Amino acid sequence: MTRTLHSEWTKLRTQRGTLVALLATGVLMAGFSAFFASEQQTDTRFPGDDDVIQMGLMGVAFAELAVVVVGASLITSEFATGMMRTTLTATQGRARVLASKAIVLCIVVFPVALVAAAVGFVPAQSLLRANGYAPPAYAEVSLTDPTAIRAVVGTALLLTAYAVIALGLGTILRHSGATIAAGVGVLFLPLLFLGTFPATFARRMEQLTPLAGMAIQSRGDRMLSAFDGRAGMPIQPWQGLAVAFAWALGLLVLGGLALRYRDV
Amino acid sequence: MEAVVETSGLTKRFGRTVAVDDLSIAVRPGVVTGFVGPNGAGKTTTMHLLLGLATPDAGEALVRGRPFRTIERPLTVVGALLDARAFHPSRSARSHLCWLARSNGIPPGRADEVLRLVGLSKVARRRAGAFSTGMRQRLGIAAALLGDPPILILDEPTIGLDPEGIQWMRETLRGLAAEGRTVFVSSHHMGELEDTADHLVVIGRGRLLADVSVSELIERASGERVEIRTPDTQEAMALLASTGATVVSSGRDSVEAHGIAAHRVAELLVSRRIRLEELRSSRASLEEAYFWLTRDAADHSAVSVGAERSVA
Repeated sequence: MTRTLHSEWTKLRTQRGTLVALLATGVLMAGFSAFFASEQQTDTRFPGDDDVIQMGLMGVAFAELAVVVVGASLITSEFATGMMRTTLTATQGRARVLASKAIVLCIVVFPVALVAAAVGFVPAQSLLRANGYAPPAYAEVSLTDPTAIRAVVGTALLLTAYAVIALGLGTILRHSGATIAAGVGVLFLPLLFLGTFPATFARRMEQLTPLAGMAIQSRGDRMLSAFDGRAGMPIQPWQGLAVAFAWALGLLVLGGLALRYRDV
Repeated sequence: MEAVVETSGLTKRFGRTVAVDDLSIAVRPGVVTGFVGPNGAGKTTTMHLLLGLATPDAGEALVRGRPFRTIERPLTVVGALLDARAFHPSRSARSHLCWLARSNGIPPGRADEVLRLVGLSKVARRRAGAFSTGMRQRLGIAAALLGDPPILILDEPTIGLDPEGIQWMRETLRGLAAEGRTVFVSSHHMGELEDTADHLVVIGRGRLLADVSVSELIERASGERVEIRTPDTQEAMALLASTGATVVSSGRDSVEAHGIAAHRVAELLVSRRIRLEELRSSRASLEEAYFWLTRDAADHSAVSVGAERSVA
C-alpha cells in the first residue's frame, strides 16, 4: 500500500493536466470569492440579514467545477491512454490503486482549497465592508472568528469531498467527458437551478444531494442566502458536510467494485 | 523445463463472440515463444487474461502456478508490454518509469538503467508523447524490464517498427530468452518472428491450432520439396512423376517436385543421363509454414505437429 501510495504521488506530481486543474481550483476559489464580494451591494431595507461569511466564500461555485476536473483526470486519463492496464499489471489488488488515488487526491486538494478559501475570504470581507456590509447592521467578521474558521475549513473539506466524488464517478464511467458532465450535473446544476424548483423539492435537494455540504459555509441561520435568497437551514452545517462525504465514500466504494469486477 | 505461463481450458466470451475458446497452452522458460494468429484471433485477450486484466468465463490462466492478481510486487515477476501508447503523453519517459518503479519498491535508479538498456537515455527527460513509434516501443520494453522479471509477456512489440527497430527487438528478445527468461510474444505477422521465436503457439478464432517448435513446423510445412534446373524439363518431369511424386513446372527450365527426397532425385536424373544444372531442396519460410498450417486447420481443429505434448 505504501508503495502504491508513493507511486500515485509520483504520478500526480508529474501529471501536468491535473496540476493545472488544481491550480485553477485555487485561483477560482480565491478569485471569484473576492470578485463576487466586490459586486455585492447591501439592501438597506433589510439590514443585517445577509450571511457575510458565506458571501466571502462564493468562489466555491466555480472552484467545484475545476476540482471535478482534478478528481476525474486522476483516473479517466489512465483509462483514456490505456495506462490503467500498466497500473494494474504493476499492482496487486485494485482497491489499493483507488484508495491510493483517493488519499493522494485529498492530500493535494485540501491544502490548496484551504489556502485559496482563506486567501479569498480576507479581501472579500473588506470589499463587502466597502459595499455597505458594515457595522452596525453587520458585525465585522475576521478570519479568526470560530464561525469563519468553520466555514473556511469546511469549504476546503467540501471541495475535497467533491474531488473524491469525481474520482468515484470517473472510476465507474471511465471517460473524462462523461465524468465531468456527471460531476457538474450532480454538483453544480442543483446549485444553479435550486431557485427554480418547488420549495419542498429544493429543500430535499439541500438535504440529500452533495449540495448539502454547502451548509458548512453558513453561519447557521440561512443555508444558501448568497445563491437563492431563501431563509432557513434544511440541514445543519456539519451534517451537511457529512452528507457530501457520504456521497464521496459511496461513489468511491462503487468505483472500487467496478474496478475490481469489470475487465479493463 | 516446467511451464511458467500456462492456461487450461481458458475461455472468454464478449457477448456472443467467443474470443478465447478452451485454450490450453504452456509457455516454457529459456526460449522465445511466439504467439501467433490473425488479427482478432484472441491473442490480446489471452494476454489480458494472463495478466488478470480480464476475468475468464471458464478455465484458468496461471503465472508460476498462481493467478496473476495474487502476485506481490508483480513487476518483479512479470514484465508486460500491452500497448506502447499507454502512458500520459505529457509525462517524461523517466517520470513514467519512476512511478512504475515506485509502485513495486524498485529504486528509481533502475529507471535510468533500463533507459540505457533500450537506448533512450538521451531522451529520458523529454515528454513521452512526442516519441516516435519506435521510441514508444522501446519505452514499453524498458517498462517491462524495470523489475528485472523472469517472465515477459509482450503484445505485438514489433508493430509499427522500422526494419532497424525490428532487428533491435529480435536481438533483445533473443538475449532475454538466452538469460533464461520466459519470453511470450504475440504477433499477427509471422515473418517478424522468423529468426526470433523458438517455439510457436498458433491460435485462430480463439482456439489452439498448433503448439509446436519452429523447426518442426518448418520441416513439416516444407515437406520433401526439391527444385531442379535442367534443360531437359520434359524428360525430368516424366521421370519424377513416374516415382509417384507431384511434379510441377516452375519455370522455363526448372521443375519442382514434392514427395521425393533430394538424393533420390539426383540419383534418378544422373542414371538417366538427364542434364542437371542445379538441385536444391527448399525449405518453407515461417510465413509459408503458417499459411500451410492455417490452411490445414481451416476447420479450426487443433493439430499437434510432433510436439511432445499432445494438444486437445
